[in-house]
Amino acid sequence: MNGPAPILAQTGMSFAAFKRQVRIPINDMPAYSERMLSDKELMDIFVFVRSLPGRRPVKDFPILNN
Amino acid sequence: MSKRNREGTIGRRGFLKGASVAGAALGAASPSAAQPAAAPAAKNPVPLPDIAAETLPPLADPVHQSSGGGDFMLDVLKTLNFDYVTQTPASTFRGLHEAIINYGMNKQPELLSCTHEEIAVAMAHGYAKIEGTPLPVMVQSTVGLQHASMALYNAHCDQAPIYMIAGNTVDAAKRGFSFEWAHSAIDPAAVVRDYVKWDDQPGSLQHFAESAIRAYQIAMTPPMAPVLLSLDSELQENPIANRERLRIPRLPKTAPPQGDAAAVAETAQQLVGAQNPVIVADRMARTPQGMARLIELAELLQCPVVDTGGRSNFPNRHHLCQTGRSGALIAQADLVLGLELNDFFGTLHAFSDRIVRRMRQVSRPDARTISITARQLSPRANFQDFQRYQDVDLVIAADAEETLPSLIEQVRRLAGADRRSAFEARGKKLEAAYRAMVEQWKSDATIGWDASPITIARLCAELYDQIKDDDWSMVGNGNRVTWPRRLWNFDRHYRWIGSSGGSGIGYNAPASLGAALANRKYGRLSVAIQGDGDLMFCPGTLWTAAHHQIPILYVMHNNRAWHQELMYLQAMSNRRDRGMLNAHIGTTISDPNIDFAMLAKSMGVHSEGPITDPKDLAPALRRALAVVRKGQPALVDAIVESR
Ligand code: HEM
Ligand SMILES: Cc1ncc(C[n+]2csc(CCOP(=O)(O)OP(=O)(O)O)c2C)c(N)n1
Ligand SMILES: [Mg+2]
Repeated sequence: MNGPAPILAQTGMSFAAFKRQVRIPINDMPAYSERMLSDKELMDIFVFVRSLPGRRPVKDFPILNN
Repeated sequence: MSKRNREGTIGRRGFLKGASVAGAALGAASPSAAQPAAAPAAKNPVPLPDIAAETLPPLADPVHQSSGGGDFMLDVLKTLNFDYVTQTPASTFRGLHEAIINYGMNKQPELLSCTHEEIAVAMAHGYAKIEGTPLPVMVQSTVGLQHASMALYNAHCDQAPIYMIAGNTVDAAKRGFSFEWAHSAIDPAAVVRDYVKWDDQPGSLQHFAESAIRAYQIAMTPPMAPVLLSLDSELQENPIANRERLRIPRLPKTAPPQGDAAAVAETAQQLVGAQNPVIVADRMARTPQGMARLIELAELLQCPVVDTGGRSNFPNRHHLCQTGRSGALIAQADLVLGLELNDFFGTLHAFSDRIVRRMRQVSRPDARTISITARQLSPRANFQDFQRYQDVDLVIAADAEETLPSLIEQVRRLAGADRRSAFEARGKKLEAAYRAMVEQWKSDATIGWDASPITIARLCAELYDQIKDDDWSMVGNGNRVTWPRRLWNFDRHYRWIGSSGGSGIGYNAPASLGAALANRKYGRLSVAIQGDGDLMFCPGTLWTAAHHQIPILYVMHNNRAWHQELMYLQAMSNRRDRGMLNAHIGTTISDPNIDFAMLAKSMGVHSEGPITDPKDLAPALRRALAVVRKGQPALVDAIVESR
């Protein structure tokens, strides 16, 4: 739970894999039951994270090459 | 006349030499006049155990004295070359306090004021990790020492030397009413003895001199650690009876423990023979030499180094710095060498914080393991910071940094041409993996670049952009955010000093300031990434920074929470299938939001914020850094993603 969690913006995961991680997570991520987070809500989250701007070309950020 | 009384008379004469007895009725002997003073040297060469043996309380009612035990104590402390002493004032050390500011003219050591004893100790902790030497910290023996205890615990866990001085009034018949009793103890060190390497309560000034030097020596011998002297207030305050007979011992040169020659040779053999060795360094580099030596060893073997960040052990832009790939490397390693690695078990295992807690070995079952650590030499039982037992193949109980030269020599001797070409091939592979990892990090850093709250990656990139051409030192990183390690160039030992040791929150703000104090004389630019929760333990740190004009930039990683704990509450709530909606209760620092810029300003520190738009960050940092470069502290409050 202390380590950085993976990046989900523009995730290439399928919804099924996404859902599996949320319902029966590997390692230390808390598990969300259907009671707490319905499939519908989960789908909304999935759509949301996929819509987030993902990576951008590093060359556009000179300050990342210091 | 009994021997006791005869000695008492001698002592009284000594006292009369040290005190101008204004209006005293000389004949009126006080009860304590019968106390033995130091006997003439020929009769009794051993320091007497009696408290305040060389000093005497006033016989009648003098109002001035021309010397005090504190002056001699300062003479002793001066031989230890302390630049500063940190403290929160308290009457039980007023005798020494006054000697420092008047007799010593507040120079070497110069007195620094702290609004909490935890700050005073944590400053000394940070200072020691830059300068390599301890600072004295003066506290009141019961209430002050209890405040100081958390910071002492961190220093103990972090193998850092602290020179604690606690004032106490030993003689119950001398204590004033009320608080002087509450501020006295028969054994003040008892509350912290579990994490103090050595302590004493000297019974005389000669005893003090010897214990003061002994304490320094013990604190500085690896494994370094806090030490404590409890100083009787009478001993500090009363006139000195026999200055000419007091001797200040010399501080010896001490050599840190080095690894046994045969064991070092065996280690070299294993390293040279291994296909996939990994070196894991934790609190190894005590001095600048540590990093240089580890580079030499790693390059010779083209062996990957995992730097857990206990100190600046290895330059992060070296292709053999493979910290980010530690999981994969440990999994395939046939030899793991730990250097001052406290948690060897945790290095070889994964832990799942689930309903059923599980430990799983992630290293190969046939991997050989060698540990070089001085920690073995000073075990403690009660507090469990020594971590779970790991059955390694070879333990070398010695200081790792000090052992590296002989290890390097042995490796050089054993590495024949065939092995050297194998090393080279290994190095090439590691270099390719290193380059790919760095490119991945940079790409990761672009995600959420314009988001608000500001991403940690952006915060770190913006900060580094403005300090990269300075002689910078990252003195604090409260939440151990990993972005600096990915984006900045940590190529010197002072670029990073390690974390708290005991994970006791309240360390980061004051320890960073102590490190900044040590950096000041080298003209380095000190920066700290500062958690909001951590700062609220010791916000008075900011006043000390302003009051003593210590240049440092605090950049807030303000997530308006004790976010670490919030995550634990989320885990608990979901485990019980109750949802996370209440997890903020007791774990967030909002309603009202703390205005850290106003807090800093109220204590005389330049400040900006709260900054929510990442575009506003660079200009605010520029203004704040201009202040810091002029020698003053500054704080930029940024609202940043949780973790
Ligand atoms: C509704 C909320 C959440 C969603 C939709 C979500 C989704 C995911 C997904 C899809 C992954 C797998 C990513 C991959 O394998 O590439 C993941 C991993 C992870 N998540 Fe979450 N997560 C949520 C909440 C949390 C929370 C609250 C925490 C921590 C308190 C957390 C911690 C982690 C960690 C540590 C991993 C990595 C697991 C590992 O590989 O060891 N997540 N999450
Ligand atoms: C003295 C002490 N008290 C409590 C804790 C438990 N604790 C661990 S992390 C943490 C939160 C620190 O807050 P902050 O500095 O804002 O960092 P964040 O977790 O928000 O990133 C707390 C309270 C601790 N480690 N030490
Ligand atoms: Mg916080």
